[in-house]
Amino acid sequence: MDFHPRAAFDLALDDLQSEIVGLASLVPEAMAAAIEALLGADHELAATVVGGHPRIATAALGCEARAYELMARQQPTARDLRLVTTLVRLAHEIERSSKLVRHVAEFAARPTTMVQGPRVRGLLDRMGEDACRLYQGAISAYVDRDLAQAEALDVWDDRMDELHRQLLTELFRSELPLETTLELALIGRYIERVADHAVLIGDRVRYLITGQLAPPVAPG
Amino acid sequence: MTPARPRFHERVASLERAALSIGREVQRSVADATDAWLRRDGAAGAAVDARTAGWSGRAQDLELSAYELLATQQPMASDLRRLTALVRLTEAVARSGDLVAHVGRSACFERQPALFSPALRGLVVEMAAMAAQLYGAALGAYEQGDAAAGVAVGEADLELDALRNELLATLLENGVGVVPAIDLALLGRFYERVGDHAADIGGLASFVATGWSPRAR
Repeated sequence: MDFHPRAAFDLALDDLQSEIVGLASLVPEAMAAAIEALLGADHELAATVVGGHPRIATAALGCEARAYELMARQQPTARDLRLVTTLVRLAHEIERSSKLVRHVAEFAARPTTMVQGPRVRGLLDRMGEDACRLYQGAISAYVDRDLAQAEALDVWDDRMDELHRQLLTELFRSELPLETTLELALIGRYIERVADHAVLIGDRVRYLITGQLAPPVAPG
Repeated sequence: MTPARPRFHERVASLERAALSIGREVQRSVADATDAWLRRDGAAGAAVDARTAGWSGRAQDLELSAYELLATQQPMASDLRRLTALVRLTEAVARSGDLVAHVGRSACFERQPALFSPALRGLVVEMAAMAAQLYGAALGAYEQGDAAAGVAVGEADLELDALRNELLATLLENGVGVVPAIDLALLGRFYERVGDHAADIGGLASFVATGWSPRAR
């Protein structure tokens, strides 16, 4: 019987990798749905997004555990080790991002959260879209091992920060009920943070390709 | 036991100490950042903000050293748990450092300090103190390998969440202007996140000691 533990390791690593990429792509999907629910006051859709989070979080934590098992069972080469540890961090980012999307959806499910005014609606819509695009960009940077793409995320994120500033400026002179205004300010913050997590994924892609960890980024 | 093991444990312990010491610096900076924020002292805020690059850099170095140990020592069972928890710890201290730095950075936004009433300032100071206290308790639990104390941080974190809700309610009741209300709502979120990181670190303390952690709350 011809059995190569090495081949089994590669197979397990491939499996883990596709599962994590699959999980990561659920984040922009959920984000798009959360924004749709928010702008359309679709409470049912919002509840579906909220209900989807535990499955993503549990699967992400499961992936993390499997990654560590792989490290422990099979002394990985330097290159494989870099990949496995990258997967660990990706799993963390997915868990966090999914939680942030859940926060957006939780607000979308509340009757007080009305998004009124074309400027505010437009800004939230664009922020949601950009967050999805950044996240998808981060995933394809990972899948394609595309350093330029990973580094481009920083620039996209600057635009997100600018949109977030515009949203706050708009809210500062808002005539909506204060409760609604505060909810929208927090929603803006959560969307912006999802974009930050996309940048953090980009940083991990840079590490995967170059072995260099990135300079520090925005808080969270 | 091979002579390699004690060396392994020494190395892990030294990485843990270094990560916890970043955590202690972050913990102490919560009050500095808050004070700068309330006084609208941009220079003091910027000084806190400047600390984060060092924290992140050191946390990243520790993370890479942890990976190196994982690769070369192939730890099993409780040793593996200790290293995986260490990776999570480096991440938690770096992220909470970023949060505290962000509070410092927003101290330079142009606002009149008079915008914030004594009652609101009191709530902010209380939240900051509770966040720092929880954070310190979590680091202590990790240091001591005290699972029960670690889990207790997660429970105490619920009080911080309650305080944040109280802040939001106070903003709505007291006819606060929209600008300070947004500022304070976002600020409250930062303390809430510092508290979450404290709860995570407490959970890690439990995970290292017992293999069980109250995760995915």
